[in-house]
Amino acid sequence: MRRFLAGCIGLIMMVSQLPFATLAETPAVTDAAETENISSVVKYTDYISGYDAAQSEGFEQSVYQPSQYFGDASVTTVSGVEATVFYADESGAVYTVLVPKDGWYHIAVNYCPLESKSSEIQFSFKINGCVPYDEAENLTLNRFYRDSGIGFDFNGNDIRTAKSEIFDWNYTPLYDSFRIYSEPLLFHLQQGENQIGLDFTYAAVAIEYVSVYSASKSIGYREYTASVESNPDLVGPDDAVIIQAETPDYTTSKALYPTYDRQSSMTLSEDNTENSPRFLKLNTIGQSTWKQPGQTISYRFTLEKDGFYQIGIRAKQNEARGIFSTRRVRIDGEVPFDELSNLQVPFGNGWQIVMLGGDTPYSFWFSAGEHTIELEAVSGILGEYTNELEDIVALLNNLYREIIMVTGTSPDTYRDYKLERQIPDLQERMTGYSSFLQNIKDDILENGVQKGSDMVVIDQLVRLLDSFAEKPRTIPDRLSNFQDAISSFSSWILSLKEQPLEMDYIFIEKFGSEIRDANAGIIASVVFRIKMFLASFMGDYYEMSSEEYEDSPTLKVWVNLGRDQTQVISDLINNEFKPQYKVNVELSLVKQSLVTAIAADRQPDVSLYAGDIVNLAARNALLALDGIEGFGETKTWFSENAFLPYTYNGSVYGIPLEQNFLMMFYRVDIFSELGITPPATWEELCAVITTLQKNKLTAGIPASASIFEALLFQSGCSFYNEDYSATAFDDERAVAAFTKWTEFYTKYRLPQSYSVLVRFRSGEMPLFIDNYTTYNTLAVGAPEISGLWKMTAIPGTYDGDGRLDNTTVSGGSAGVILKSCKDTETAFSFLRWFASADVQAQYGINIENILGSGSRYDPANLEALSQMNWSAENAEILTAQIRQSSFEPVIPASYYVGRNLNNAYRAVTIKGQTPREALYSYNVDINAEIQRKRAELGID
Amino acid sequence: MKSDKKPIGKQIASNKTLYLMMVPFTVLFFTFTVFSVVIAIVLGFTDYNLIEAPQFVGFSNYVRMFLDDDLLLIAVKNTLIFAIVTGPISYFLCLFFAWMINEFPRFIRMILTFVFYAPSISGSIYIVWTYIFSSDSYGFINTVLMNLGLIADPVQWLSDTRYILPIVILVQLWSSLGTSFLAFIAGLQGIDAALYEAGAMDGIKNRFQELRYITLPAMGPQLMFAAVMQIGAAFSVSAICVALAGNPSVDYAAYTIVMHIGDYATTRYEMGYACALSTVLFAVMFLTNELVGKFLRKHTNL
Repeated sequence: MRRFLAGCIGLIMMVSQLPFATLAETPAVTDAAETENISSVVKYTDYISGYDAAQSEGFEQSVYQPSQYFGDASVTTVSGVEATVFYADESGAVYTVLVPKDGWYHIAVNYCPLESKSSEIQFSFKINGCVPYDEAENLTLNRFYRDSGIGFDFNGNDIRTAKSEIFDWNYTPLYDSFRIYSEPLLFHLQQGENQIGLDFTYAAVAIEYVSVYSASKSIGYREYTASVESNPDLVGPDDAVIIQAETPDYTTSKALYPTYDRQSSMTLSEDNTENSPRFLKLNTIGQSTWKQPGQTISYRFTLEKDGFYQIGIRAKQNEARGIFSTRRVRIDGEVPFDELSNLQVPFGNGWQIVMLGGDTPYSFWFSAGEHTIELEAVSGILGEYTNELEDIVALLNNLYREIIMVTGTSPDTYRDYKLERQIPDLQERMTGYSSFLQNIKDDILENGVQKGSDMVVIDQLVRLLDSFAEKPRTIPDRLSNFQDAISSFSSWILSLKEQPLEMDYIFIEKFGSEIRDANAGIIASVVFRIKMFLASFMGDYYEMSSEEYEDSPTLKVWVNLGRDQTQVISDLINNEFKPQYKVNVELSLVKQSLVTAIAADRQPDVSLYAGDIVNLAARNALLALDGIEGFGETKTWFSENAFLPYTYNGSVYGIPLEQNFLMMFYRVDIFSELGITPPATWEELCAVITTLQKNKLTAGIPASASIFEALLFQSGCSFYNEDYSATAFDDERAVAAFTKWTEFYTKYRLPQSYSVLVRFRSGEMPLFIDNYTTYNTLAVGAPEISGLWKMTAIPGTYDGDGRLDNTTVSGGSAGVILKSCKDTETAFSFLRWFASADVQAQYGINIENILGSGSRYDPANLEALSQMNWSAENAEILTAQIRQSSFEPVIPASYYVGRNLNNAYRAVTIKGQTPREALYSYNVDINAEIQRKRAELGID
Repeated sequence: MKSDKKPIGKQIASNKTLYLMMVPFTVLFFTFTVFSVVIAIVLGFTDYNLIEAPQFVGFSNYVRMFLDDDLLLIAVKNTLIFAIVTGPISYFLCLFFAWMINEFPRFIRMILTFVFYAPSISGSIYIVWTYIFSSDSYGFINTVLMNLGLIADPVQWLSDTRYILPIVILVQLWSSLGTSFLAFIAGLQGIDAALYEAGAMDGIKNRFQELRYITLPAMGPQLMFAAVMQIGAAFSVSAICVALAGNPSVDYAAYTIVMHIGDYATTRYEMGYACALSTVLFAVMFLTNELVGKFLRKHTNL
């Protein structure tokens, strides 16, 4: 159906003789062919239909020795097996295979992951030196993790145990990384010698051999039943074998850890007992983490008797509304028959029993002994559409940008822009997109998606496009509707890619058993809830860990973060700090300010991610750290200025934990279209803004004082005078910086508030400056522009010697020790341990595993930053920039500086005061407050 | 809250069940209200940063308040504008809507009561106004005005000092039909129908005379209760200002006394001064209540 559809669209396009590439090809090419990001343009589906269907048969060959290798690849012995080893990223090898005739082949590799800081193994696949199609550009190999079962904490609640990686040999055919196609990828090889290249982008893997084999026809359920035992009376024993999902043999992601279900009394715990109303039981797996295609969980089980069995799972899919979540089931390493490539779990609020085979379960033949069953998240049928849908989002965004290049973002409603004449084929393109969308929608509905789900976003877009095409005059009027429709459409596509599923247990029972109930009856549920409510009065939920070692000191630690983050910290403490230092740690999640705790004399010894450090220090509540032994060495872990916001009166009171700083983001495609390069200096930035505005586009410079600070620091001016008794704003350089900053909004009239995600993806704002963590938001939230944008350092200023000063402005948080702490030595060693590169990196990686790459951690520790999952290029940019970062120094009267800078800024941009006058007059207020605070605190 | 006069021992003994029933409330009220008020008054005479022990400083906080606090003047000005505009208007709006709704049949009355009361029970629902008045050119009001061609650039609604206070007042009015409104409705329903009949006999000509001479005087307790609530609300407005205009708002355009107190207590670590400020605010509110009470006592059956 899909191929037919693509064909149809191609036909429509050709008939209407449109000048742009057909939708079946990568459409972004029309705009971005010149950019280096798009190297291959062929899609897998086109590749497959591009050659005739000549099947090769019965061929299989394994190649052990690569014919050449590069990067730091080498041939050595890994756990007794001779293999080619790739350690560093950007290494690779080429294998030569001799095939008997032209045809379709699958490729498989036998590999062993090696220890590495990166959590994936990624490579691009080449045949005779070129990537055959888009999907082969990024292929992944799994890493495997195993934990040591489920543990208990001192409250009697279950806790997770650490996952460690398994380094073992695995044989796997190559699949596409989104697991869209149920068969392994096909490659067309010519008769004779073929060069097969593997270029690793993320490495640390050993490859024993590469296997090339003929594509064989897979079998369906009917053929499967015909091929196994023929006596249907041989059924399994009466007792079902129950595999608890939370105790897998291995998983392919650290994020696939056991999770808590507190909703249903029927959810079984590790020991096959019912849910506990009082204790937190780790009784399921995958809750909100098992949704990325490719994530696999594998189990072992033993059967006592030969026979026919049926298999079912108790699962919950309450996240992907209206659509289903898909799994591929492998038994003993193979998909036994085609139907199991697409096990679909429909949306439902509660737990459901999903039988393999549905209402008439499949019968599986098992011999007695040990078996494995493996479930892999795959994109399935819906995944096939996401590629095309993402292409059309890119096209729609291009169209939107072409329109605003004529009308501007706030068009004059009373003017007729004659858009249909200004933009080539406007109406044809719109009707083309609209009918394409309509077709895709019908197609998706045919595939069993429930109508009335979030698919209304397609309807909205179709209606809008149709009415635009009919009356182009109304387009400027409804431009913002268009933009809204595009952005809700693209977030819907994002949700299509996810395959969420939570699993309680798998059961293997005698074939023909009655299908069991998924949920308890109403009365039982109510009783369970009442018990839970009563039990909630017992136990302390904020206490995350406690004593273990007798006669050892106990450290009281507060964490000012969310529950997930605190849990990760707790795990790190339990697994690493406690055994190493033999110190008890009492960790609590407290989101309250330290002040009230100090006033009540109930403060902790150490507070992580604390705020308002200087004010606490100025009032004698914190311990100065610079006198403590080992501080000097600790200082070298961070950038030069990292301690600035935690320093008061020359003493340091906090150890930096997080540091986020400004970076500049730009759209590569639009920049190359307009023939401009990303600005390196503020003057160049102004030139870029002019060019953008000539094309009715705009730039995003945040209306926060951080831009002023960046300009200030780059001009070599400090923030305060030497003894911090007054600001340095009467300096001529400060006035210049302030003037430059406000000019962005007065002279250039840049928007003062905007949503980056919306405007950057539509292309209306091809350049903006923001904290570098925005990168993650964009990477996750705007997949349709992935590869079309880059992050780079903020504009700089040339100093006297002609060096470019790129100093950026940071914000952050720190860990502190309170003055009331008795055992300062232990407290400092804890703080030092937590701020160290290893622990910070581990914390960051665990958090990213749990919360997704949208919440990548921003450690202040330089070494830890370089260990986050950034690509080599971005890691280099970030580590370079963090070394050139500065902070606004903090003094007790800092609150007054921020608010008056804002007042001065508004006085200029809104009331039209001259910058110099505004800055001076508010500066008087600031300095008066600084003096008052100094008098109050008895400085001078 | 006070107990009766002389032979206390005997009185308590004879009414001990009643005293017993009062115990839970009294204990809570004294520990969390009366005690805190007394503490605040005492701390008003000290210099206290919440961390180190308070230092007695005499009247210096009060001297500073009246002679050396420019921001307080802005806060007092804003609070007064706020109290004068929102207090009476919302009081009379409550009364008017309650009176109007009371005329409807039971079912419609129920629905209307819910509709008017909804904004004040839904907690911080007023943040929807930050979207309506968003400064983004895609904000609701900006989009509408720009589409109509009335403005060319987005208006910075909540950071332009000319608009901040009016917007906050508007939102406050929108969400103020709260407890007083319910009290009025209850009051209106509690009036004996016989009074109206008697009034008709005595020559009441129209609905407004009815309102003036029967309804309002009969609603004395509700009017008093609502007045106390409204005065309290008008003087202590701050949450809406913070949510809409930020704390502090640009150029202190929507800066009220309660925000000023909060600023000193939390941001500036000057709890002593904050306590002195709240003591004064307490006194002002108390006096206003007395004044309004006197007026109401004169004109209703209170």
